[in-house]
Amino acid sequence: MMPPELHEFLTLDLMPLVAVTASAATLALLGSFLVLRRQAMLGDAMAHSVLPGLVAAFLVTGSRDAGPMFLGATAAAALSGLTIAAIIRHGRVERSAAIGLVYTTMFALGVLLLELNGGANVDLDVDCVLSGQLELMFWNAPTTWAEVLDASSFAGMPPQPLRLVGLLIASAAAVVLAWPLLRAVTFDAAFARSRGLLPAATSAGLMALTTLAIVLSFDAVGSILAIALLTCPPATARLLTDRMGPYVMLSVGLGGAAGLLGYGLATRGAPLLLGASVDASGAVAALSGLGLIVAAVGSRRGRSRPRAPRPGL
Amino acid sequence: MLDVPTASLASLASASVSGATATPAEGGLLEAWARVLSFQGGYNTNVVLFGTILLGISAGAVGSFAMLKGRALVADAISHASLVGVALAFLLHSALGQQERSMPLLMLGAAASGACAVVAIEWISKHTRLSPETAVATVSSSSFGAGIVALSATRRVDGADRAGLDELIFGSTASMTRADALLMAVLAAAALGATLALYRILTAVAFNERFARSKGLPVRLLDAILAALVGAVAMAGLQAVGMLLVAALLVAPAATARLWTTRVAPMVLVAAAAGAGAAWVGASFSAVTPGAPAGPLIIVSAASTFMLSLLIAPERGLLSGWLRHRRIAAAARRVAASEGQPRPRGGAS
Amino acid sequence: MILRSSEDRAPLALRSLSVAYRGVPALWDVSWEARAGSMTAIVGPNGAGKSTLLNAAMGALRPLAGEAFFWGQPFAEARSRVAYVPQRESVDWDFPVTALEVVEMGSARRLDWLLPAWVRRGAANRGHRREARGCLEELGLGAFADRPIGQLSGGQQQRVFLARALAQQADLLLLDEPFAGVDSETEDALFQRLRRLCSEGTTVVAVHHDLETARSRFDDAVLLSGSVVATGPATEVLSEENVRRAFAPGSRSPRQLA
Repeated sequence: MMPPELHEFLTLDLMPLVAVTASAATLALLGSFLVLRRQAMLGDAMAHSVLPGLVAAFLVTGSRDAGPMFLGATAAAALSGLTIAAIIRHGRVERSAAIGLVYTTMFALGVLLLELNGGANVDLDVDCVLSGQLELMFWNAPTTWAEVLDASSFAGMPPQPLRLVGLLIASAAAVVLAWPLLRAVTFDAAFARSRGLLPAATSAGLMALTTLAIVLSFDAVGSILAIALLTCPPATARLLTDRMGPYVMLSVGLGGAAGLLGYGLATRGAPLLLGASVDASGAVAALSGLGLIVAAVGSRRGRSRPRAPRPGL
Repeated sequence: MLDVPTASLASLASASVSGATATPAEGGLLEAWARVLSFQGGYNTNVVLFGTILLGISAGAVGSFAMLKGRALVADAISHASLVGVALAFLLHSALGQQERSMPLLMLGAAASGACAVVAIEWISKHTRLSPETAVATVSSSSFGAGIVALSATRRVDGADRAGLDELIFGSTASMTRADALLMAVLAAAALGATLALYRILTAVAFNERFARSKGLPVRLLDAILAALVGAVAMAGLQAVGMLLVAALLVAPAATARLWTTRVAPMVLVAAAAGAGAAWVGASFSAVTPGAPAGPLIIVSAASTFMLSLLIAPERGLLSGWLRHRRIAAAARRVAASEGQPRPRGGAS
Repeated sequence: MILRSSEDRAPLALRSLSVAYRGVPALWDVSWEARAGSMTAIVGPNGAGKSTLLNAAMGALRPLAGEAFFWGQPFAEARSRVAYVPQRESVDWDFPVTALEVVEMGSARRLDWLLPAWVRRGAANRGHRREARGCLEELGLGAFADRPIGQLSGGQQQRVFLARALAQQADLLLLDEPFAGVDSETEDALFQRLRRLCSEGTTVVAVHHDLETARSRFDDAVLLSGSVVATGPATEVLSEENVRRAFAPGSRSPRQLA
């Protein structure tokens, strides 16, 4: 027989833990390229702008199926990406203002859609957009060791964690496969274009993968975690290393660690301190920011860096 | 939308502005909306509406300078970070045994944590290799995460009045009391007054920081003041627009104005007008529409104004740009053709 | 027998090239040919369209009208023979990449863009790595090969970019302000290196800001001010009269030309 504590852990915590960790690692992996291009806000923008697409897909199909949700989210993300580009290019509005304007508007549209149809459904509401629905992800786990070896006991697993693990593997494979290409395109797009490397298509591919990661994360862990994990672990890793390989791996590691630790603190640590558990997605996000602050205060190496002039904020 | 049953409208009109004298809607939604738009929606509705319009005006004015200084997104970080302060202030308040919700106290908490966010962003972009954009994105998202953690902790507090706490995220004029509306109006008016008082200095700094520095203007102090003004507008808009959206109220009207003019005084005026218009339309529509929160409505109307301007503005609009491009391209092709160069054969090496 | 016109042989030939940003012309009706094996400076005031010229030639910007040919072919077909060095400020020098890795981007061939180096341990890979190291050593940066580029000085960074161009073994170098931030000693060495390339048949076209060295170091010059002010031998093109015309306030008025 399996100890009851273990069984309880498998039933209640394993799946959310896998979902949080896998999505944190995936987002940190894809976000590391955004931070390298100094486009951190773009990740923020994408994560906010998918909302109306998600809600519209949900309202049309009436279900939370990943397929239509992804289509809706991709359409919304593409729309806001194009709008941002058009505003910067033609309206001569500065980059950060254009981004801030478009994504808040898209988010407002999403909230509006959600609220106007709020009474009709309880499956998709504002709370679950922000924090996901980790608590619903339980697994009818085996009670004996013999059942662990039995494939049928895995059939009842919730789909979200498995999807997120699959996405992590696929993203990692894509990044490894295209590594020199990604490095060249991210470092020097003008040069890459002169060599025929299609920097625009490469970044569009990266953004599509990022959007997919955001959609799958939304479903499981909510938007707060998605937005924070796209930027905080890469930013932290950026302070700690000057090599691209270690930087990306460190970012993934920090993201995964924030997921594990944050979930643990929220569900096990907080009850000891406060007498009740707190929001796990929020805890992971806050922890990743804390990691950045620790790294920023701890490392003074970046101080004397020569900073290239950039269109900043 | 138009065939919403009258009964539900009536119940809404009374629900949407608490304490408002119920104004049963006769006729359709448009009629009810027109009545609120023309400030005939009852005293309390008007208080909220005027307050929100004042908020729009000062958001436009302050936002213009924030944008000229390239600090538009600081508002976003301030407002996202304010959730921690709100939730902690609430926890502290109820730990002291208070049951009543105190909006000024919540705003104080929000202001404190917003200020911390600004300091953190400044510190990160100054002392590390990370870009200001990365600093804003990380601080605003992770502090919002912390805010959600704190907010989930408030759910454990028994007996306290949590009403309106969640609404601060997305904004709602429905739960605003008259005192709340007055507080909003006073804050917004103060920010507007300070902006107008500092108008000349802010303009100098926004346009040419080096010049301003050489003239001995305290540029760093003015930066801090501008951040404080942005913060004040964000706090004022917390309840009506919500912390996730209030940044857009600072950005959208200013960006709209920028499409129409490049000079500062007209820009501030147009931005203030655009902000006021968005607030007026959004808040009044919210007052007569079932379940539609004011915040998103205000932002969507501000953004619509922007998109329309982007299309039709004379110099910077898409339409005029497209026409200009066509004209120029035709001229370029004429010049190219008149040279009469034979096209070289391709493929030879 | 078909007589080839000169434009079939010119490494770069522009035919009535016009470019606009948002409907405002940046480059108007530029026709010009680079002589094979020569060094040409593209000179002009700020906003004269110097970088625009390079970008439009490579098809990175869509021209309003006109064409650019490389040895008589469009850029897409001549790509492998052209090396481009963007302005130093166009990239983030704090990027986590070493000098050698940057230069390897130049020596990389088609398949080298896939899979990281630790996966591809083949002889071909070692070859392109050795090539890259050779180019760095040639420009005196052998000791800095494994340094992150952020630790290099401005002049060294500029040399890393040039090493990357050398690694491409191209027949035409398009350089955008290659000597910005370079001390005079390094500048001297770089000019000598470029001169040697030219004597081997390579063509160099460089956006350049210093009139003095443009006259003394380059063979030809293109003086731009929105449209072409003069082209030809550098010393003639950059006469005081021409320069005054190009740099005079309000000289850049392609709109009137349109």
